[in-house]
Amino acid sequence: MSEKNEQKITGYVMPVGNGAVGKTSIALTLQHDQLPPDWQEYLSQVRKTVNMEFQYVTDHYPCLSGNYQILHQYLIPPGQKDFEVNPRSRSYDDVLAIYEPIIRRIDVVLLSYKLTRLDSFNDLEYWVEKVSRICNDQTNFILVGTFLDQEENREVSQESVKTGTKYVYNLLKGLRPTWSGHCSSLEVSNLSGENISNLKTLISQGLILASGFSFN
Amino acid sequence: MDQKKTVPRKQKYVLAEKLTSLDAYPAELQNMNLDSMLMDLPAFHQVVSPGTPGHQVAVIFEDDPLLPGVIIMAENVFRGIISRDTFFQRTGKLFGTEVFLGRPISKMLATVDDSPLILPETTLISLAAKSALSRDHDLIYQPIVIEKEGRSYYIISALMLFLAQSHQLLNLHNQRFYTVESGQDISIKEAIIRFLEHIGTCEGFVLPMFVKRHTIRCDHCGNLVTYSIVDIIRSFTYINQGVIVEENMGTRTYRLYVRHHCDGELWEIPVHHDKNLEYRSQRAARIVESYV
Repeated sequence: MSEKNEQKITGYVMPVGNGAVGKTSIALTLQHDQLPPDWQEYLSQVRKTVNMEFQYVTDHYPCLSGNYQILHQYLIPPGQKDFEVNPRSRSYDDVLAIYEPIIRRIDVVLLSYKLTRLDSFNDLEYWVEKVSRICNDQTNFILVGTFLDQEENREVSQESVKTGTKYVYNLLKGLRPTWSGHCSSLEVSNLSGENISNLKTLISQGLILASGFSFN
Repeated sequence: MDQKKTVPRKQKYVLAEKLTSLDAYPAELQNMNLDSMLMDLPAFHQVVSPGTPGHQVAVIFEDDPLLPGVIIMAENVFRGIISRDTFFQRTGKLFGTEVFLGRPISKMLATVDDSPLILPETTLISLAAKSALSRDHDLIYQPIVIEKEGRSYYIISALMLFLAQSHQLLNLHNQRFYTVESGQDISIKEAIIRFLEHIGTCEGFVLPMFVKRHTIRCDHCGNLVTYSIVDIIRSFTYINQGVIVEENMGTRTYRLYVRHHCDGELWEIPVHHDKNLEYRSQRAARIVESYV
């Protein structure tokens, strides 16, 4: 099927999670099919997000019902909670207070945490409650564990992730009884690119579903 | 269980243990506590009659170098004591041997002006030491007479009394040290029960989880620290100060505080264990107490 026949979808993705878990880096890494040689150096220059950041990623998703050309629009808020900010920076709440009126919808939420920091995983509960206020009933959630390349320092066990995914699902059902989205999990490495293509596919699937299309 | 062997300690505490384990000191001193009395001290019961010649007393002193003095009794009546110092002081003077060695010891006793300090055997060590130190300056080091039931008399040196008090203080000091670091000497079973009561469930726990040893590195001193869950439970008098239960993301985790000494201070290293009590992570150590 030619590109002309591709169904075009634009979806909004919001990575949330504690500071320095790699929210911005996920969006940057997803832009590359092949990571450049100086990628590590490039990533090391990524600065703390102090305002809403925007990134775009294009993906093509072929399936039985037709091919999709999907534009991921990333809205990346800061990872600082209200009580963590200093006078020079903005918290997630500060930034959302500015942008919330113009955010149309959020199709996929990336609940980001560091596999090497248990507290960043435990804090996802906080982030689910925060982000659920701007979500809709079709929003899909993906728990994204970063720093997969530091497996030896892993603090979040796979069992905890499995339990946590179920917990987030139930939490969302409790917060929004009409919610009909999905909840899944994946572990990635922004540094080595491991599992990044799988994450891209998972996000694309989430965007397709949230847009009312199906894979059949 | 011998708690002292399992607890790492700092040099100054090692010094304290060396002091208490020196063979030169009687074993009785090891167990001195605040309730210890004079009856708990090793005392001498060397009694001579007033008519005993001085040269025989000299032989008695030479035979037992630790004997602080002899008790002089006449028909079960206490007459006094001749301390080792007094005996050799008197005989060491010009014509002392001629005056005292060939004559009854009562003659020497007659030259001693001060009566000895006599205390009941039920006197507390601390009070006895205070009484001994309240004597005149030149009598402070004279032996102390212990009066036991049935009007029998024993004698101990002032050094022994002061050593006993010193051990009391050392034991108190160590007790304080172990209490701070190791909490209570409770069995593994008791520790586990305390933990399960604290967390409110016993589901899914088996003994090996509690006794498995974990090794972490203290970020303050760089040394390896080995611990088990039971060690942590023991090291806190109040378990809620050392074991924090956290419920996050549908999973129960435990924040535990591993106590250890580095650079003369007591530090706590926060560690996270998952629901199966497997070690997951550690955080920066923090100081608890500083010893002077």
